Amino acid sequence: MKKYLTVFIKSLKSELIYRWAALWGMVGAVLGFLIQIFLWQALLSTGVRNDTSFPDMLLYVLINSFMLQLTRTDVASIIENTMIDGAISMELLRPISYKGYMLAQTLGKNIYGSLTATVPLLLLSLFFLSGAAFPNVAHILLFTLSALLGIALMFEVTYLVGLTAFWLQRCWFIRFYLNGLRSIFGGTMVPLWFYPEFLITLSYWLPFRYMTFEPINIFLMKTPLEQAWIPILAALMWLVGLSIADNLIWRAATKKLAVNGG
Amino acid sequence: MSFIEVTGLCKDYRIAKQEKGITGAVKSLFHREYTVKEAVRNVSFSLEKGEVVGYIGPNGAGKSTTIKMLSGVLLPTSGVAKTGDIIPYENRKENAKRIGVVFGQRSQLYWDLPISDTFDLYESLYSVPRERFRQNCNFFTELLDMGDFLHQPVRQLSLGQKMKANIAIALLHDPEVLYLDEPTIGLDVTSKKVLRDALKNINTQRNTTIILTTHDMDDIEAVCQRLIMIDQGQKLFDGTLGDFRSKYNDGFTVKLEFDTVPPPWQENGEYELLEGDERHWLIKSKTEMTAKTAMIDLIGIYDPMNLYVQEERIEDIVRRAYAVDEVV
Repeated sequence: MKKYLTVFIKSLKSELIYRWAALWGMVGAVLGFLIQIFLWQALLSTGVRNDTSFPDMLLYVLINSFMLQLTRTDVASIIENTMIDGAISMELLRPISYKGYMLAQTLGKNIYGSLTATVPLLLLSLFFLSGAAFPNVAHILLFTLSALLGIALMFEVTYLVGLTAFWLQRCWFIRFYLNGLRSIFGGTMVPLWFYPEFLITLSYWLPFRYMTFEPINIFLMKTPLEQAWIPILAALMWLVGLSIADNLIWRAATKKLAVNGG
Repeated sequence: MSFIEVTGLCKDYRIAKQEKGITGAVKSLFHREYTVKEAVRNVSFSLEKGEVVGYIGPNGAGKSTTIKMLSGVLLPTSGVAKTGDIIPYENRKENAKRIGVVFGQRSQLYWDLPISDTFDLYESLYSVPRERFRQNCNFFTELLDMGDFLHQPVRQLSLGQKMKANIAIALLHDPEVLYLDEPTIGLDVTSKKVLRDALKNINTQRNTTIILTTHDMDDIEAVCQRLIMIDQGQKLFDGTLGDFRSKYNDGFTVKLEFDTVPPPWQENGEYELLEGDERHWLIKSKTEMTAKTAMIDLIGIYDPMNLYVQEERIEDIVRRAYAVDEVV
């Protein structure tokens, strides 16, 4: 376990090096935040949902930004790049699980990313949040669990896509589809509440809504306590299924591996 | 049983053929032909603990592929490699704990962080006991003269500094075997010397088995007791440096130096003129004769100002060995 912790810390430390990147990352986060707020205001003014107040909306946008940062992962493009230049051989020389190593690295980056992106937003919106419906302790605990599962789920799916690079060398087009599917069925752009019935039904059969949408629903107490186990169990089942698939594919991948160059 | 045992090792790659130009690229979208390249063909050898072996061959001979199979990265197409009692590619992580690997063309260091951070990572990756880790850090920092740049970000280091660091991290966990794939590539003369001395030192002090691939024959002469040569995936030679010399060496060369225009060269069955300009001749004997006879003989005929006898350098022998192999 200690090795994964070290990988995590070093990854976090690597992120801290570039001050300008951090600063502009924050500016970008603020801009994205404003876009979401304007979008929401437009949506709310249509009167479709008049049960949502401005502070509630703000809280949604905040928690959504936070969850998006936490579930960001470029593991697929990292695997793709190490396949292209052959650096994959270096990764395989280490006495550590490749997946665990990648996960620890991703988490290091994401913790940093979500803190730098969310803290300024939180400070910015602190004054407007009074009156928002904050979750109680039980909801926060369930949210934490659900969010952790969401992070793991996003990682699993992306990792699986990355592994295809062992056969295809390039997997950017699959990543492209993955991002699209996630935006649609994960409700990351427009929440699934606004979707037509058949898309919502479909989304229950895919893993994407359990990544950020369901955790957010729990946080906003839209999911009652007694029903929270449903999305949590669904996420867990996806996670188990995907881990088994990952393991099988990894085994086949290491047999298939051809290292490029030198 | 030997410490490292390689038996009938083969590795094939499938290579897609592509014709020239845009039309070729378009064609290959629809129809692709593959050829199989046998990168390693039926290679066998065994190594005892503490041996230092030079693994040489021309570009594309299959050296790196062999090393990758031995270190558990690649799966052989057929044949078996064993280090200790472990089959590396079946037990990658277990094997990784016992070996150290340096690929001269790649770095294992954190790009943005100082070397000391990568050191920390390796300490926990290999669960090296703290005290031992400290000792090793100090030992290698001293041995490879890295004290000055231990705390600089890696991206600001020179090639040689990075290479030293990569070698140090490959050794921090006291590996039983060290695989070095072109560790001196791009290094200056001084750095090469430091590195060679360090390798010798590690081998004698810690009894670390070392397999070294290189194109620099001075590396081999400086550190290796044994030489394995492969070309086109096949093993051509396996033996001591001395055996290698006597197998591929055909004698010595004599250099004559003249202060005036030399007399005309007399073609005969005994000597061959390899190179010659107005003041210098490089001569080789065609027959088995001692250097003494040749010297007396040549002085008698040509009366040079100076005369040097040179044993053929290992590099020249290797060059000829590669060439002979290509003809076959």
